[in-house]
Amino acid sequence: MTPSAFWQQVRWVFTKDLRVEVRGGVTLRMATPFAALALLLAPLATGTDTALLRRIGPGMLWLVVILFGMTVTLRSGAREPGPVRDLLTLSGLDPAAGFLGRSLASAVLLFGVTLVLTPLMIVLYAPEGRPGWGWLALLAVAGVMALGLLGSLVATLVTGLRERTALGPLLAIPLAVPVLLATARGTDSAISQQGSLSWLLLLVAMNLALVIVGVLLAGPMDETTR
Amino acid sequence: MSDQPLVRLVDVGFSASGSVILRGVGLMVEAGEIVGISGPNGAGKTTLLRLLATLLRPTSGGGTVLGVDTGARPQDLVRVRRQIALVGHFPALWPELTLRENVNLPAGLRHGPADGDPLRAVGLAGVAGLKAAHASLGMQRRVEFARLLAWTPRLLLLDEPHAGLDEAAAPLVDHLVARVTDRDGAVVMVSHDRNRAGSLLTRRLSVTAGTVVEAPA
Repeated sequence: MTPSAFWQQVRWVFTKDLRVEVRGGVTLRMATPFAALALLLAPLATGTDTALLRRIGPGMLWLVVILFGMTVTLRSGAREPGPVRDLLTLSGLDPAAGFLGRSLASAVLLFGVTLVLTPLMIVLYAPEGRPGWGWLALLAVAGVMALGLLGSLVATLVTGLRERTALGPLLAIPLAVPVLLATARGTDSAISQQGSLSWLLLLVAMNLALVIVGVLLAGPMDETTR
Repeated sequence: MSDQPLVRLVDVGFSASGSVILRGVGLMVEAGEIVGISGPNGAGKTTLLRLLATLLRPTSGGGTVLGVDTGARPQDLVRVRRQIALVGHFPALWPELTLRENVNLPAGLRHGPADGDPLRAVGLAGVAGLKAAHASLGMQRRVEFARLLAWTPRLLLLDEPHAGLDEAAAPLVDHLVARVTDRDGAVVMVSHDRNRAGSLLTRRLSVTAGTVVEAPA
């Protein structure tokens, strides 16, 4: 397959997944409002200790994004029932292109979630902060891309297993801990007007590693989980 | 064109989760043939179709499908898979997408936009904007047939193609089968509907407890 044909397939899967997700409305109608509610409730539980809220805010933001985001990204693998997977295979879809397309679609959806949640976190947890919005945006892009890749990878691994609904999050969330650390620390630095370059580079390295592992595993996993 | 059969399976077996589903299957399908498969539920008919589609690999024995070894690497099977169509027992549709999108999207992946309006040809032009989730089984089946009007596979595999179809739609199956065989392709069809499928077949096979035998015409 030529590189051009490969990237056309990536774009095809990306467009199709986004369309299906927007029509289904799970991210817009369920995950985002519940994630926002979770961010709203935490300050009520901890009280008005502004120093404490300022400390936990970045961690809470990314914890919520990961917990609710994983439900979105893991759906991408579970969404395709057997007959549709067969159709895609017989249509010549390269499993690696499918993996990248699904990951990108999940990342875009999660970026939408962070667009809502990040300003909410600033208002609720660090209203006096002067965030570096550029750093926050870069961290969000790198963070959601890593989560999209991780979610698609785990969804591929558990496809075909009877216990995939429970196994998916149990496998994905521990693997997302490095992403949680990097995004939360990086966001903390950005809110404090410090550079977040080292955290950003760490996320970029994670993304590269996940792309390599995902692309290499996509084909064999697609064959063995059929 | 090659004299090689489109399908040649030799002593093929398939097991999954410790259960033997198919054993000792020998099967040749030549260009122009329409092979019917019957047998009781759970006998292994659908597994046989998925083996022919190269979606499953034999766990014993081997052979070729469209000239490529059934145990070939996935990257070597891509070219062959693109010449195979499988219309399974359960429709391969995205429920959130419209009927038109369910025709056009896979076409974009395989060969580009379809010429004309395949949905009109299967009598669904008036409901092209309906979500697949809201369509009846018969309408979903017609959508799958509409996809097949946009291109012609060399090997067409049908699993109960008449299920859910009304009388008016039944000739669609005949039309699709004829398109394939007219272009030196072959059709393998699982069907319990002897009245509708029987007249199409050039040969009958029976699958019983995982073994395949020639059945009387």
